[in-house]
Amino acid sequence: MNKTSLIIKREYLTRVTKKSFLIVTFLVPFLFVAVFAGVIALGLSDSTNHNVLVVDSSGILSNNINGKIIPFNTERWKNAKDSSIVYNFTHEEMEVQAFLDSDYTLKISVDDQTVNDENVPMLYKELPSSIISNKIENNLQDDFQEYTWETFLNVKPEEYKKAEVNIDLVEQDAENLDVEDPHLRTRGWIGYGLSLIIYMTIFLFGSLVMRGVLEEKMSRIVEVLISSVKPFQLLMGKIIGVGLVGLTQFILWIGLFAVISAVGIGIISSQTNVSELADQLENGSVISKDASLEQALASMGQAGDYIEAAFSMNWTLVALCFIFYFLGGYLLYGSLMAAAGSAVDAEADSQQFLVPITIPLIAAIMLSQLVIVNPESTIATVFSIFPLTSPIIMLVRVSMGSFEWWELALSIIVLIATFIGTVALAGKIYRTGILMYGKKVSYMELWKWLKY
Amino acid sequence: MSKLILEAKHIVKNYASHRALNDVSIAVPEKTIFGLLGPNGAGKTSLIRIINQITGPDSGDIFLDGELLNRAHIKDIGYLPEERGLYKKMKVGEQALYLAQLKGMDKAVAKAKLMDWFERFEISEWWNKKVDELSKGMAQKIQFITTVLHEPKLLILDEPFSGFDPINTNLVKSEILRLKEKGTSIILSTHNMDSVEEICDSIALINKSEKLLDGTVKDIKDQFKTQTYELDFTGSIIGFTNALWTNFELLEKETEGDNHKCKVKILNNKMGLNELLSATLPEVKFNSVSEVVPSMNDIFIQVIEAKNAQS
Repeated sequence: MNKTSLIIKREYLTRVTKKSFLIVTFLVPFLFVAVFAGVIALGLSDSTNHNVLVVDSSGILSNNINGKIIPFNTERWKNAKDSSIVYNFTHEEMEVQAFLDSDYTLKISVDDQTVNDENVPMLYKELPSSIISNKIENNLQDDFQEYTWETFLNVKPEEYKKAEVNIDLVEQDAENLDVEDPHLRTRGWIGYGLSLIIYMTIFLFGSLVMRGVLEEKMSRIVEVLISSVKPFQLLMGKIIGVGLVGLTQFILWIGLFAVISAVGIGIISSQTNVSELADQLENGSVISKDASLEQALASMGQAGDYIEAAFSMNWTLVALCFIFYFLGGYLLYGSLMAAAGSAVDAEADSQQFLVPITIPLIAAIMLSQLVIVNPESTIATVFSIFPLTSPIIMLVRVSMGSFEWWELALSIIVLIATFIGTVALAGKIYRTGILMYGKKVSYMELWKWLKY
Repeated sequence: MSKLILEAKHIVKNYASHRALNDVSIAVPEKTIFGLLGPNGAGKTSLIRIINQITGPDSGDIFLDGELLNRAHIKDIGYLPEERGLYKKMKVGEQALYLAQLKGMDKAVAKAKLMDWFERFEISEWWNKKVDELSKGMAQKIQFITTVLHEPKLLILDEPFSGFDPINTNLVKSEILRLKEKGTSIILSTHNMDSVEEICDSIALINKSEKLLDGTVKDIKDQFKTQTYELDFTGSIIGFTNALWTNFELLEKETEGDNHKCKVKILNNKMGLNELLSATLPEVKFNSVSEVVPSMNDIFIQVIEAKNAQS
């Protein structure tokens, strides 16, 4: 058996057979799903009930029918969908102290002046969630809009609805007219999510490599090892072994995730109406209780957008790029982190080298948001080719579908060339560093090691 | 002269700020124990690392068993570094197997041999323990076994006795001698001069990157003999002293009643023990006579101090 493969085997097996590996592998998807489900569940069962008093002292939104104050638009204020908010209309102003002593949780005051001020004061006992505030604000907005159309322009709400338009700008590539593309930027955010995964795993497995190097150095076994194998074999064996651990974890996560999600969705949909869920996500708009899934998706706003955008992605290409950029980025950063680990005596000292290594990675994540805004700018082109940022930036652009083939090809070639170069350089630093103890290593020193 | 297992010729090694080895040559005869001596920082470890191909020399050549040193020789060398260590979280048996395979051994063969060693050292029950459950001495034993398991032609032991209690020191010492008998050549780098006297056949002394002295232990001792004898006799110390004329010097005397122990150095090169005895014989009755041989420790200190005084 070849020595490098022996090393890979050891690095791989000692890690995947650890209890912590199993725990992380099995717990992370559960936690992820649990948190996600928890958020949804919390959203669904927002248990704070609001009893809202609307003081309509000028009778703009309501009138008096048989001694009861009823809003003009009963449908809107009845809020059939959401029993957690109950609206009570009155024409009588209420003192603050009386409000505090009452059962009401919120008090809104509107009058003639409101139309001019465009401000509605709302008193609260406990600050309501922004979701609640938004709902109330939307209702007021719609009511007042109808009021002003009717009062000043004499247009009935139904006519007003007919006249209302809602424009979407559809960007289209002149070279690719067949493809309708309203989801360009949403795909960018999906790509951003994927590149975040790459970013986190490079950090995670890069630091595993670094700790592995340090472990061998600190336990002093390294001198025995490199009397049997070349330092470069040891370095590569470690990087590849840990990389395989990463891939294994990915595969297990994806598998587990699929299983748990399937089970989870099954449980959730058996307990709750999909449309209710959709309503929560969409934050405010009203859909009827028996809406079908498609309608639900369409009315889910952002979430629906993401699902549609995901369907419009070239997943084969994105998946290939994801794997390539994960491996390329990991090899590049992993070898740099291994070199950093070899140059110090203790994990605590590694910061001075780790910080400069991680800055481009963090910068790439920040830049990628600019790239989503402007995917074909010079900045986007440059940083999707620059090897320290390309694993993040290019993946975002590929997900958007907004790149030239030559850019992708160049980006891949540059990344391959760079990681070969970096691994060679890291090997030189490593070779010297692992036998160097008790010395505070400076960058000048590292430079000398490269020339040994 | 017997066949050489290792020959290093004019080795020069520079690091960024200093020269670690300056034209150092050593010759290690086959099937002997060779002591590589020198104070800390002399360059011993640098030389050992070059022999192990961990680093390369800037100039000079190394021959192992007559061939220019190359990667294929890795399996012929066993190395126990001074700073020892094993993977703390790895099981003892698994780890020993791994290290053996890295030296190029077949897994099954390695396992069988390991079992033998574990039995001889009476540590079979450690096989499935993790290294961090073992004491330091126990870990040292494991490390010693992994060093010699692949039956190297040349064994390089850097301070092999450090960290062992006297009982285990003896165990390791007898293992080293056993390996020598089986035909292994051994380089022993150490400060422990007692062990050098006891087990080394020849030595090289390195100080400040340069070799100061080498040869067989016997030759070197002969070279550093000072014609001094310890005489144990009964009789008159005054008569004895008076009998020593200008060619002799009385270095020490120890008196216990009528019994005396004296160290006498013969100053005249042309004279020997016979002249000393015949000069003093009429005065006293000798109980025993022995030559005072310098210890390696004395030679070590003497040579290095002389060298340091020069520069």
